[in-house]
Amino acid sequence: MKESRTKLFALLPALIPLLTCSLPPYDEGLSLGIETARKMEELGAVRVKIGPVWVWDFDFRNREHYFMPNKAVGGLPLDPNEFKNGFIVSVDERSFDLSYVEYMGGPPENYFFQRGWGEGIDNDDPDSNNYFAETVKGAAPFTSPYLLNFIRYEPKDYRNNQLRVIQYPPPPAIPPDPETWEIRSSDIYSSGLPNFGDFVFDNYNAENVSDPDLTEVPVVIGSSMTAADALNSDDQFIFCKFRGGGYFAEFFYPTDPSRGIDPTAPALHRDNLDFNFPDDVENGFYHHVWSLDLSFFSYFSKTQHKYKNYRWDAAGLLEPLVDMDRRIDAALTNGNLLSFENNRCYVYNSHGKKQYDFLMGGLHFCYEIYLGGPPGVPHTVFTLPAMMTERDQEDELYFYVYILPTDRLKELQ
Amino acid sequence: MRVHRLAAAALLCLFSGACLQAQKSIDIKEVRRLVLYFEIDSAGEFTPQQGTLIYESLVASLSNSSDRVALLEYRDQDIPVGDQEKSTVAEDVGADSWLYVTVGGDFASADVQVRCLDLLNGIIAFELDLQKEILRGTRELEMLFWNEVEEATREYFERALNLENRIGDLTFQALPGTRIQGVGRRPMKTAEDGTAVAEVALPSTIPFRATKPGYWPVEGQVYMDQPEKSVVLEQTPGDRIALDFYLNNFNFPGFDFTFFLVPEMVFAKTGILTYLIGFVLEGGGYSDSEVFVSYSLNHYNLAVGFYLNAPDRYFRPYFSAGVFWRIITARGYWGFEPIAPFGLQPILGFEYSRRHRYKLFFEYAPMVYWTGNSDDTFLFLLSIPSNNDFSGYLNARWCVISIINFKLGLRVRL
Repeated sequence: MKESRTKLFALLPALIPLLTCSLPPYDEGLSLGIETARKMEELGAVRVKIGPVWVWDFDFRNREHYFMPNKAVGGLPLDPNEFKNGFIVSVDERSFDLSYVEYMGGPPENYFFQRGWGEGIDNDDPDSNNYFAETVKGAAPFTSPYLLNFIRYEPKDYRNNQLRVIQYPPPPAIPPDPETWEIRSSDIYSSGLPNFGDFVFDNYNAENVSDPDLTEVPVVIGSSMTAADALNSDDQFIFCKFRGGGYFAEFFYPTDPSRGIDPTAPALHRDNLDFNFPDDVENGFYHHVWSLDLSFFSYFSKTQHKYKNYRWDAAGLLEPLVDMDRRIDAALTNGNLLSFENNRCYVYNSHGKKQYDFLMGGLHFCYEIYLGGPPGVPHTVFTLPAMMTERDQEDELYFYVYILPTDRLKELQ
Repeated sequence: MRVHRLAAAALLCLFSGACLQAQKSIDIKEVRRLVLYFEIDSAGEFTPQQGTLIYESLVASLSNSSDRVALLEYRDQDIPVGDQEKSTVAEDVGADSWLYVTVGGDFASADVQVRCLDLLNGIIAFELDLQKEILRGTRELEMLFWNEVEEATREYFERALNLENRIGDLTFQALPGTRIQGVGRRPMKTAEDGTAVAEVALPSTIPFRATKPGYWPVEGQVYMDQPEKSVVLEQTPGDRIALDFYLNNFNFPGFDFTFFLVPEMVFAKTGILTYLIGFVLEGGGYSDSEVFVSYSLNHYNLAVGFYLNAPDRYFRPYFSAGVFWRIITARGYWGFEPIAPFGLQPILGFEYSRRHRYKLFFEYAPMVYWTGNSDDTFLFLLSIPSNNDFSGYLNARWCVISIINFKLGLRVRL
């Protein structure tokens, strides 16, 4: 009897690898994100739950992904369902992929999932500016095409930087534009009514945004979307580039709810900015705060091995933000700067003085948007992704959207 | 006539009382019957007269050795060869023991070999191998020659039993509250003074096992050949501290510190299970296979438990129950995991070893993750990695139970 027990005991460990090889029920991003999300809800944030979105796409399992909701028109009362449509961004070291989720109503809630468009990116250097993606504000909820502005930066060769505005449903073709930013419609789309069956994303390629000859052809060093200061105004797409001759210039394009960037009305915001940036500036992070007419520039100095940050105001006076050594990832309408690092969001004032920080985890800052009655109250929009997977079954994607008044952000610390 | 009857009754009462009194006061000696086998070794250089002197001096010494010994001579007959034959002959003559004495050498320097067997107890009572010198003649034979034999005979038979005495008192001396099994049908416990007394049959060999919580069991056996015998038990306290090193689900390492509230029986343990480093043998699902994985999660455990059998068993089952806290040690955040910050964990374990200090253990340790509400239960399910399926989980409104969880490790007692 004792011998048989001994054999049984010896056998049990051998069975363990066969029985179990399990990982802990833990998602760091979700757990840390929920910690802050709960605080947001306590502060009055609106929470919108999206899902389940059924997908048979294993790319989501091993790639970082997040939800970029469409920008709501922002009328009162706020319809949370406006935030249930949007793009799913899925990235890894080498690629950027977009899918689209459309809320089809409920209950039970139904979602239309459309796997969309992908682009190779060079995303393995966290200190480089690799891509910029932000949805463009539409004109009317649930009726306008949904737009996402995407710029692919090529850290190793800025001549390959590309701008694309991706739209769903696809719009009619737009004729090529003779502007420096050559915007043209993709060949793969032919005009016609949207058809889910043979859906394609429309590509507006902005090629040749830079040129080897730096003295003559502008080089884009950064761009951003910035919320206009009135409720019904559209976003502005603004970018900063080498003007040539050692000068910089800021241009902006109004966004068109039906077409994304309106290529017919570029405007020179500031010109002949005489900044003495070091020579290693390439593909920096550029942000503009429309409401304060402040611009910020952040880049990783390879010679000094740290981030260097600058701001300039309407007069074009350049001010180095010497107290800030983190990257500027976002600029808010109140001039505060956000930097995301080590699972936290570090908040600085417009002069680069650190104000506070709070936990982010898997929360993704999407954008800032004016909501409420005119002139509107700026709100920050965060999303938190989650996924339920089962073997041999479709995955269930879930996203939580949190919409918090910007002025309550400091209470998250 | 009536007077005569009364006088007779009075006399009868007096006689009876006198008899009873006499019975109480008389110390009844139990007499053993001892057969003496004596022979001169064939190589011995003794004259017949010397042999007779030696024999008679032996008889005299033995006769005086103890009033509990009645000596039966076995003279002028062939001495039985073996022990069995000697015992048979002894029984034939109504003896219950025999003494076999051989004398060799010569009268000046004699070799004496003595062997005594107790038939009642079936044991060799004593054996002697003596070298004797006779320097002062026959007087020495009477005074000194048989001293050792006489003394051994006296000593043994003073305490040896006879056929009429079949019950003895066996006394254990141990720590108060020691439970003693094997003596009698029911276990007994030592009293406050640390003693426990049992009546046992004589002669008998009595195996016993003495246990007391917190002490190593003492096992042994007593040969009960006397009316009274006392056994002092040396009880060693059990260990107080143990260290566990284990792999949870064969993936992630853990460490426990165990303190025995009652040594080797009741314990409290605390420890850490870390997911900071682990390895998997298969990727599972559709994810890429990775040998080493890391999660910024740790479990801090606290539990109490007890063993289900004695500490000297090679195979020891035990049960414990406790609580664990889930601690995140991520960059930018150290604190409780917010979705299921703690849980309960019952453990049914087994440890095995033939060595006291090092033991291999295996535990079935399901985890009951406490979420507190259905929303967090849902979030918890969303936290399950993609290479898992849900067959190992049972979810309720307030909690999620991970039913497939095992620990395999090494336990070291300090």
